Amino acid sequence: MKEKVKQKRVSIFSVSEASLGVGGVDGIAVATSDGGEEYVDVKDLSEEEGEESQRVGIEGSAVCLTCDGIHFEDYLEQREHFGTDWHRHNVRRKARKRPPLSESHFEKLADTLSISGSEDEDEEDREEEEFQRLEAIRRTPKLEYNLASGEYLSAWKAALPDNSSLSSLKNMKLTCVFLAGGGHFAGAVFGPQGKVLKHQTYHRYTSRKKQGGEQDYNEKASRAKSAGAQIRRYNMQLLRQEIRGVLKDWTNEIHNADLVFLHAPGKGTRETFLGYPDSPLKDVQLRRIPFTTRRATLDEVKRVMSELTSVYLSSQSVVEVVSVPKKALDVKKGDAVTSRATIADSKPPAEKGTAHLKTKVPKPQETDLLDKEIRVVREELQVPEDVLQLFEACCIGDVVTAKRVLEIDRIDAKFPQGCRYQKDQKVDVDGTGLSPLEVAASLGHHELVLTILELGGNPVEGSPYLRAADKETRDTFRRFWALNPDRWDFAAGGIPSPLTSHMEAEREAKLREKRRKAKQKKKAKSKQEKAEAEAAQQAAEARAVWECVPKPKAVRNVAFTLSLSIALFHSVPTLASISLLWWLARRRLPEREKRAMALEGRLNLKTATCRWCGKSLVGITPFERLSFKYCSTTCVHAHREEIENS
Amino acid sequence: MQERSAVTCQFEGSSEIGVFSCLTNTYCLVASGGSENFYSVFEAELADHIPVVRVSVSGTRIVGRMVAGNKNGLVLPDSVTDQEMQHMANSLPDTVRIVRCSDRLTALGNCIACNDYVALIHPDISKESEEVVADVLGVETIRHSIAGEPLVGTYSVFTNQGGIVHPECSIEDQDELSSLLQVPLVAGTVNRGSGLVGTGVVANDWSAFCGLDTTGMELEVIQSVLKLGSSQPSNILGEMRASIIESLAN
Amino acid sequence: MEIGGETTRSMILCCHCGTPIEPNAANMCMNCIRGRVDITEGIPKKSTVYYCRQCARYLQPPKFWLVAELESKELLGLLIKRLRGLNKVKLIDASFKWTEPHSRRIIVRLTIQKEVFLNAILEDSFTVEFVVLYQQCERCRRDAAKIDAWQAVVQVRQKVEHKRSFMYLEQLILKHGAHEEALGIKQMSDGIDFFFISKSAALKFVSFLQQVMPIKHKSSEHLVSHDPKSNHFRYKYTFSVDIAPVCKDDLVCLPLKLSQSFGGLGPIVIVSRVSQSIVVTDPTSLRHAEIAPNVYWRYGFVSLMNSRQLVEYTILDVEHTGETSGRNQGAYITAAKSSDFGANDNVVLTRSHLGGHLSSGDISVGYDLKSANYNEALIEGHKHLELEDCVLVKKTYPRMNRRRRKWKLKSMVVDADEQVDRGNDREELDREQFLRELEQDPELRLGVNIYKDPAAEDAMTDAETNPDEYPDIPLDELIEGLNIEDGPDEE
Repeated sequence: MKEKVKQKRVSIFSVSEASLGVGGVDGIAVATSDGGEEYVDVKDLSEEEGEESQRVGIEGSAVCLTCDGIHFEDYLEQREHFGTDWHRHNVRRKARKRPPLSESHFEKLADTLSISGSEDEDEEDREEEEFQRLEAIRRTPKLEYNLASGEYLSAWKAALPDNSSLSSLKNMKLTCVFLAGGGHFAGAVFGPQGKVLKHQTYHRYTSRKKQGGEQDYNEKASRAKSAGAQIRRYNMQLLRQEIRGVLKDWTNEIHNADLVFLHAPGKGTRETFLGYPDSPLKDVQLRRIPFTTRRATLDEVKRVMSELTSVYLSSQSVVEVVSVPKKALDVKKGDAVTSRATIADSKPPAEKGTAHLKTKVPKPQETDLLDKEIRVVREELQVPEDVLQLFEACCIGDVVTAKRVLEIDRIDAKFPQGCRYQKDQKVDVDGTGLSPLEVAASLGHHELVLTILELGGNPVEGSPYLRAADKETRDTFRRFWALNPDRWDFAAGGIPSPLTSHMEAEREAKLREKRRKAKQKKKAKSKQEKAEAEAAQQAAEARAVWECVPKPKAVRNVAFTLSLSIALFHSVPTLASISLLWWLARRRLPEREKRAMALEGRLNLKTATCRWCGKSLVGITPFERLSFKYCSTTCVHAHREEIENS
Repeated sequence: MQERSAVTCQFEGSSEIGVFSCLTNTYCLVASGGSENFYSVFEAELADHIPVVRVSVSGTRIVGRMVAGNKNGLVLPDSVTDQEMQHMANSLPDTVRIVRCSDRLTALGNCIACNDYVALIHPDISKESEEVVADVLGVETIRHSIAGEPLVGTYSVFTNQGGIVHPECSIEDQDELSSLLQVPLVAGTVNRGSGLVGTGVVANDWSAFCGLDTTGMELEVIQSVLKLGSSQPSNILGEMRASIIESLAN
Repeated sequence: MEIGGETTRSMILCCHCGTPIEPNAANMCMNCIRGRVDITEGIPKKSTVYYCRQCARYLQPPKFWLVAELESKELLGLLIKRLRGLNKVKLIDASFKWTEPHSRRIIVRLTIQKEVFLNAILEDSFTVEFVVLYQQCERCRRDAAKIDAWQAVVQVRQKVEHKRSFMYLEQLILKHGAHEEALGIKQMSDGIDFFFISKSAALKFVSFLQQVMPIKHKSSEHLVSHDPKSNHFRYKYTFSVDIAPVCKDDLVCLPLKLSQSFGGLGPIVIVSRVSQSIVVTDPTSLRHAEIAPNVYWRYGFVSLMNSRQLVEYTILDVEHTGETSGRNQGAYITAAKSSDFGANDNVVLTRSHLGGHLSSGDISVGYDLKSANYNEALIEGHKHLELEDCVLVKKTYPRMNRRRRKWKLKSMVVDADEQVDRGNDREELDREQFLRELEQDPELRLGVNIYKDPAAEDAMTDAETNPDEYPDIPLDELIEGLNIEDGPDEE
C-alpha cells in the first residue's frame, strides 16, 4: 500500500531554471500534495530504487486501464489481475466499446451467469454473447426453453398471462379474442381448456372494391356522394354499433378475462373498439396477436386461440436458448405438455445403450393431438453392441462399464464409423477413428482416462493429450507419466512434463497463498476505500492550493527547448536514446517526468563513477579519456600513467 | 558477446521482414525459398551463436506471422505439416519444445507477442491455446490489445530488454504494458514511418533485424530501446538528469 | 497519474529527422513530409500567357481573347486554366501577388491539397510565375495588315436601280455572321466587294450567298507573282456574283417558254418573294410558281416594271370572285389613282389577288400599265397578250407622321468607294422603303435580327396609340442588347 505521506508530487518543471545548469542546487522547493513545501530526500528515492532495482516501469504504472484504472502494488499483482475473469470480461467489453464493469457488478453478473471459475470456453462465449442474445430474445415473439433432452420448448410470449411461466398459460380461465377488419368482425370468449363460451361474428359491406380498404377515414377531404358510398357509410355505422353492442354485452367477461386479445388494424377499426368513452376494453390490458391472422371469422378466432395456447417443441432453436436450471425444467416440461388439450403422458426417458438420439419435431398447428411421442431411434449402421457400449461408456465417463467391456486387445482399437454421441446440442462426439482414450480425454472424463491408461491405453498414439478437454484431464496424463516414467515415450505424445505429487503440492500451496492474499487484499481494499474518501477531501483542498501556485509552464518550455538544443548541439546518434524518448514522451506530465527521471538517475548512478577514484560522477561533468570517465584531471592523469606503465 | 547494432535487410523487395522470419534467443527461423541474400544476412549475424533454419509453415513463407516462439519453445498453427514440424524439430536445439496449437486464430505471430518470460496474446485466443502457449513457451500470458488492436504481434515487438509498440499506443497504455511486461517500452515506427512494428522488426536480446526502409532515426530508437550496440543513454542527457536528481536530492 | 477516458498520445520521433512529433499517418514531421513528397510536382512553376497590346486582351487558348484587368477574377481564372496538373490536386486557394504592372510578370499564389500517404493530406502553397508575352490577336493582326492582305474578293452585284436587295442581304449576312472572315467590305457602284484572306473563305461566303439569294457566280484568278523554281504561284481570286435583277414586288413578264412550262402561268406576274429561288404570283389566276436559280438564269428575264414605278391607288370597290389560293383571294377591284382625285374621274377595273386584303377606301400600290413605258422586247412572243390597265401589288398604309421607329437594325462596316456617287436621297428612300417592307412583311423579318432601340424607349407610348392600322413589328420579335459600339446604327 502506498503511503500517503511519501507520495510527493514533484514536477521537474517546478524546478527553477538555474538548477538545470551543471552545478547542483541545494534544495528545490516543491509543491506537495498537501500544499506545503517540503524537501525531498534523495536518499528516500534511491533506497526505494535499491530494493526494486530490477523493476521496470514507472511507479504507479501498475494499473489496469481496462478495469477503470485500478492500481496495484506491484506488477505481480497486476499480472494476476490480468488473468482474472473480471479483467477478461472487461477486455471483451472494451473491444465492443462498452464501459467496463466494476468488480462487484461483475461478480453479481458472474453469479447469475455462473461463469466464474468455469474453465469452459462455452461459458465464456455465452457471457460474451449474452447481450445480443437477450436482445434477440426480447425481439422474438416467442419464449423458449431448452429441455434436458436437447429439444426446445417455445410458446408465444403474448399468450403467457404473467409473461414467463407456462403454468399460467395452462391455468387460464377466461380469454377474449377479438378480430376485426375489412368489414368483418369476429369475437369469442374462451373458457378453460380453450372451450368457446360465447362468440359473435358480423360482416358488413364497408370497403368498396378496388378502393384500397375502408375509406371513411379519408373522407374529410372529399366526401364521396355516390350511392355506393352512401351504402358503405351506412354499413360502417351499423357495424360499429353492432361491435360496440357486443362489447357491452360481454363487459363482464372482458373484465374477468385473464387475457384479452385484440386485432384491429387501421385507425378506424381501432376507434370502433376503443374510441368511445365507456369502452370496456379501455380498462383491461390488451394484447396483440403476435402472428398474422386471416379474415375475421369464427374459425379464425378459434385458430388464433389454439395457436396462442400451443407450445412448440423443436429440435432447433428459434433464438439462442435461455438455460433453465435443471430442477425447474422438469416442472416446466410438465407444464408445457399438460397445457395441451390432449396430452402425451410423459416422454419416455432416453434409453440406455443408444448411440444416437433423434427427436421428431411435432407440428403444432395441425391438431390438438400434437406431440404424441418423442421417438428414440437407433442409428441404422451396424455396429457391434459391445463396441457401442464401450463408446457410450467413454462418452458418459462410465468407468465401470468401460472396465467391463474393455479388453486388452481393444484398448487401442479405433471406433468404427457410426459411433456418434449427441447431447444437448453442445456435446456432439463423432467417435469415428478415435481410440477410447481419445474419446474419454476429449470429453474430460479424467477418471476414465486414468483407468484406460492403467489398463494399458497408449497415450502416444493419436493425440489424446492434446484433445484433453480440461486441465484435470491433462494433469491425469502428466501424473501418470510421473508414476510410470518408463512406460511410454510420453513426450512424443505431446505431453509436456510429468507431474509429481510434490509439484502438485507446491502448486496447491501457491494457490492457497494466492487466495489468502486475495482475501487480505479485499479486506484492505474496503479499509482503503474509507481512507480514500477522506483522502479525496484532502486532495480537493490540496488542489485548491496547487491552483494558487504559479504554473511552471514557461519553465517547462525553456527546459524542453534547452534539453533539445543540447541534444541537437551534440547531434550525436545517441539523440534518440531511450532516456530522451522517455523524457519527451512524458514531458507533458510533470509527475511522471519526475519518476522517469528518478528511474533514469537510478540507471545512471550505477555506472557513473569515476574510473580512477570511484567517486560518483553525479552532478559533475566528467572528464573523458578513451572510454573512461573521471571526476577530475588528476584522476585522468593518474589513470593514464597507470595504463601507460602497465 | 560483442555488441551489435540492428541490421537492415529485405525479403524479395519487401521490407516487412517480420513476416518472413522469426528470431528468438535460441534459434532463428527464416522463410525458405526466396533469395539467398535474406538468409545470408541472418546467417552472417547469427550463425555463430544460434541455428538459423530455413522453414516453411503449412507451405507458406510467412513464417514470422504463423509461429510464435521464444527461447523455450515454438508454437505452430494447426495447419503446419508433420514434415515441416519434423524439420524444425531436427534443426532447432533440443531444449526448444515445438508444439502445435489448434486455435481458430492461426496467424499466431500476429496474435502472440512474447519474450522469454511473458507473452501478450490476442484476447480471443481460446483458453486451451493460451495454456499451450504458457506451457510451451514458459511464459505468463496476458490477454491484451495494443492501441485498441487485438493483433498484439503485429503492433508490438519486445525482447527481454525492451520493446517497441505502435505509435498510436497512448502513454498510459505504454506504462501499463511496461509494468506488465517489466521491460521498458517506447512508441516507435519502422520502415520509414510504418506503425506495424511487428512486421518490420525481428529481435532478440542481442540482435535485431529491421526492414531495409527503416531510417537511421528509427534504427536508433530500436537499438536504444532494445539495448543493442552502443546506444546507451547519452552522457550529456544523463548528466543533466543526474544533476537534476542531485539537486532534488539535496 | 490521471487515468480515465482521456489518454495521452505519446510522442514519437520523426522517422527522418528525429523531431518529436505526435503520431500521424506518415509518422514523419511536417518538414520531412514536405521534403520527401512534393505535392506540387507536375504543376509548372513558370508559365507564359499571351497578351495583345493593341486591344489589351489575354489569350485563352485555343483562340479566344479575353479582356481582363490585372489582378482581376477573370485573369485569375484564365491563368489557373493555363496550369496543367492542377486536376490531380485539390485547389484550396489562389491569389495574386502584387507585381509591377510593367514587369510583364504575374505571380499567382496557389494553395493545394493532396493525399500523400495513406490518409495523410498535405497542404502546400506555392507561387507560379507567369511571363506575359506579347502576341497580336487575330483582329489586331487583321487591322494591322490592312486590306492589302486579301487574296480573294467576292464582288456581289445586282443590276437594279435600288439598293433594297443589298440592305436585305446585309441583314442576312449579319444574322449569320458570314462576314466575320472578311477582311474588308467595300461599297461599289452597284454592289459590294467582300475581301477575304483566302480562297476558301471566299468560297464559303459564295456558298452562303447561294443559300440566300438567286445568284450566279464566276471565278477568275490573277497571277500576282510566281517562283518557277519552287513552283510557287500566288494568285488573287475574284468571284463575281450576280444577284438576279428581280426584286420583290417587281412586275415580270415571264418568257413564253417559262410561262408554258408552268402551265401558262401569267405571263404578267408579281414577284412575291426572293430568296434562294424566286416566287412569282399571277394576280389573275392567283397561282404561284417557284423559279429555281438555274431556271432563272437560263432565261435571265428582267422585270417589266420595278417598285419605283409603283403608283398609289385608292380602292373604290371590291367584288370577290370566290377564288382563293392561300392568303390570296381573287377579286374584281375598282380603283382610282390617288393622284387623280380632284383631277379627273378615271377609274380602273382590274382583277387582283388582293381581294382578301383590300376593301373600299383602302390604299394600295400598283403598276399603271396603261400609261407605262416598257420595253416591247420584254413582252415579245406572247400572242394575245392582254395587259390589264393596272396591277395591284400590295396594300399600303399612309405613313402619316414619320414616327421614330422603336427598333433598329445593325449594319456592317462598309468602306464607301470614293468614286461612287452615292445618291444619298435615293438611298434614304430605298432604306425607308426597306424598313417599311420589314414592318409589313413578317416573312421577310424571319431572316433579319431586329433590335430594340434603347433610345426609342420613351417613344413607345406614342407608338402604342397607333392611329392608323399601320402594321408594326410586335415587341416580342425585337431582340434586346443592341450594342451601339458594335457598329453604326441605321436610321
